[in-house]
Amino acid sequence: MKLSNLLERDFKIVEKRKILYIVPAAIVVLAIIMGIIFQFTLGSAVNLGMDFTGGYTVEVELSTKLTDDNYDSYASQIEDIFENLSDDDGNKYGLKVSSMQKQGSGETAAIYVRYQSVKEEKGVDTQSLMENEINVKLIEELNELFKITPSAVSYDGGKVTATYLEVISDPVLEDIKNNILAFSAENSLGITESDITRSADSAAVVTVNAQIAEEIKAAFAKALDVPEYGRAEQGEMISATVSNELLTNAILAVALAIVLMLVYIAFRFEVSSGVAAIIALMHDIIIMFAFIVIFHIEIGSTFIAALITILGYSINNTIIIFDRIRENHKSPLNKNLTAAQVANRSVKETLLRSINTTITTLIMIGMVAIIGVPSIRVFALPIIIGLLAGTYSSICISPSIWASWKGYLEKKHKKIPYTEKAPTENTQSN
Amino acid sequence: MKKKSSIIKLSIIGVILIIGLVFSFIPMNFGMTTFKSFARTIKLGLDLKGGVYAVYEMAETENTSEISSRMEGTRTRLENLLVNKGYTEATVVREGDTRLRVEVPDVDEPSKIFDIIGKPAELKFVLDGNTVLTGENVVSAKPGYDNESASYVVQLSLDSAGAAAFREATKEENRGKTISIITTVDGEDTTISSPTINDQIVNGKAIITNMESQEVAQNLADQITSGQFEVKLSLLESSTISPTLGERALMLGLIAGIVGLVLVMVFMCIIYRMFGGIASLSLMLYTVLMLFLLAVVPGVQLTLPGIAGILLSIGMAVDANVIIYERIKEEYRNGKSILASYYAGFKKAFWSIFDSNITTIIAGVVLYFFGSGSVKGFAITLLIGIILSMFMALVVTRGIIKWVLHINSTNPKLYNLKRGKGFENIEADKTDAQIEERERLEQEEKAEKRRQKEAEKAKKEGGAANETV
Repeated sequence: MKLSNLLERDFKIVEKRKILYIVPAAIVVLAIIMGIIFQFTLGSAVNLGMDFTGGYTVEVELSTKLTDDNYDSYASQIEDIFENLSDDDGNKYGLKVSSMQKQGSGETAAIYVRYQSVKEEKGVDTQSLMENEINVKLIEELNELFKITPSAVSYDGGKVTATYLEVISDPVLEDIKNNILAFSAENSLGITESDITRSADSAAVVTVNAQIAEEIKAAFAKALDVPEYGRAEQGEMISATVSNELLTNAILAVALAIVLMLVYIAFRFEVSSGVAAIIALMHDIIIMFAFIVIFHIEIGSTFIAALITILGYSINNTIIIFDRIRENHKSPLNKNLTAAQVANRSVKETLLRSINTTITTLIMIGMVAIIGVPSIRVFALPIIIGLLAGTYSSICISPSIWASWKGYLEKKHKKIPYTEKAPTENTQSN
Repeated sequence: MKKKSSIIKLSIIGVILIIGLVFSFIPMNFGMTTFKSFARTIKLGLDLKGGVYAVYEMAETENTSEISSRMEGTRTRLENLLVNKGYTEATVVREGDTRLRVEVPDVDEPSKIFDIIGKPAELKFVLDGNTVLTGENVVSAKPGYDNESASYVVQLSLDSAGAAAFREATKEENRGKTISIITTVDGEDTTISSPTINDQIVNGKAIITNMESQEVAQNLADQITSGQFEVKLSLLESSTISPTLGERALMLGLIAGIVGLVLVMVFMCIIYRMFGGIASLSLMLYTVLMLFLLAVVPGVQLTLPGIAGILLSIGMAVDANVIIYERIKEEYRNGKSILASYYAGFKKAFWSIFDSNITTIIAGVVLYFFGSGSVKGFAITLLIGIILSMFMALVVTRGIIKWVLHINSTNPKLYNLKRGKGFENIEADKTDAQIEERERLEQEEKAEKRRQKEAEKAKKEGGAANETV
């Protein structure tokens, strides 16, 4: 059906309000049910991110080894270790990196990693699990990452040849020498510094002139390992970035904003319009929350920004329709219309605008969701839901609330008889 | 005549837009100075550009009773101090029991702020050898300029106990005595000034005068503020940090914005044809002005959600255009000429746009004044977006539509305007002669008023000149 045909037909938004109210109510009920399910299965109804819960940190000190060029490769290796960390039975802990940053420069350069505790489980002391088991394992595995280990070691009579995956630099060679000399001293092998050489053909091969007995080969191989200039160190626990103060202030500010907006709308329009607009606003925010709960999306500090954005958008949307209601309600041409008819007509007259504006805003934020990085998607998705909820509430909810309120008043004062089934209106006033 | 001047005006707008785009994105060299493009001057948040971090540790001399709540209080105060300095996106988190980690995005001289915080100043006001006030009585310390002493000052506002003590100290009997204002940094006392008591001060406001510069005043204010921290802190380490998301996220965000903008413009041109073209022009102007304002308004530190919010605001800026065009279409449908439809449509759309924007501005202002940290920062961005889009819709777009209509107001197809049932045969410019006549009269009336005003002004000035002789 063409849009223009739809516009020729009569609109009965107010009459169908009960059905239209059911949709958001159903979403909220679903969210409550899902919340309860998540509470029991995953340990929490809402998925709070590191910004809200705080967590642990690890500092991977790489010193001058870390450059802007190899940062990404180190970062992805570290991320792999976090994600694949598993207990003795091979079950993954489900640890996730929350954020990673290069910190400091030169000698002090390090990668600073923040991560959240594993999710709470019934009967498990999460904190003790984290601190006594997971973090210990994590540091061990991270330190493995920064070890230079030969990929092959061959023993050929009085000569040992160790082949490494990467070029052995002078300081690393120095470390290897020191390791071997220490091992030699311990086992009385009599190896001297001149016995250890870096191959002239390949800088990744180190040869040692020594006879190694079979039983100490394994121990000797260990001496060929060099800890690279990297060391993972467990940092302190850190608190949430979003402080309680910020949250309390934000909630109070939003509450005050709502009151002041209500006053402005009541002053410029009517009290009934103000109340209906605020209900629409609450509806949009609740639907956003419901969406977050239903899909168990992680809530970060960006969600607060998303809520504020929708707060502005929603009220904007509703006011445009109420402006038309105000105009139609005042117009002498419409003095025989009931409140419901005025609301229906106003929604119809502003429908093209509502649709076009929703399309343009969806194009913009949709592009962000499609093209952007994952963390921005977490921001864009709730906004998209908020936009759709805002459009829905401004068309299907707030005009009906206004009409019901007005209709009730009209009935009370017996100015105009208000009937549920209003006579079909004449859509063209001219 | 009108056609010609309209073409000129539109060309000027076009040139302004091109200059704006060039200045926004292309850096330039003027002789010795390099001019950074606006888009590059915008301050970016920790996620996009990184910044600096510092770890503070509780001073060893501190006792550890109720340490958790005292650290939390210190954390809050430190965060507020940074927000007051314009770093709305700065974060402060507690690390373990006795440390605070501060991260500040995009700063020029990080060591300065960190050093000052790490060197808290204890403050006392001494009269006749007795301490009447200490830093603990200070609610806030801010730099300022005092006209009376013609110097930079630190303005202190005192709590009720401090206000009472200060009132007592500056009472009648003590008139003529001096109060010494002493700060202690790292155990070293400095007498900053010793003002003479002239009047009793009852409002709980004290000022420290004779600061060398605004900067010195700011530093002392910060030191006094950190001197009030529940826990004395010393700087443990500080260095740079890279962004958590980085260049790629920023690039993708920009690409998303450009693609979205082009799609919106295409959409508008399809639906509203020439009006869509006008909307596209004003959208580009909006984007350029937005970049400019984000670069110059203090307190803006753009994070990735901030960018997404701005992109959304571009989508919403189109809204005002949509409202105006839909109104014009409606008026035209019911039999008015194109010009008449524009006048009637704009007049009706005006209050709709005005009221919706004012309501959102109310929300933005409240969030700015009562929100803290990043909420405040986001509110600034939101406010810039709304005020700008309101200005664009009610002033700029209006002008552009008018000029375009002066060039052609006889072809409804150009604007995708259609007559409604029963009005099919009315000419598109039927009543234009009347409207033009009215416009001409309005212009004349305005000119007449201006002449009258000027005449009055001249008369007044003449009179004033006579009086002084």
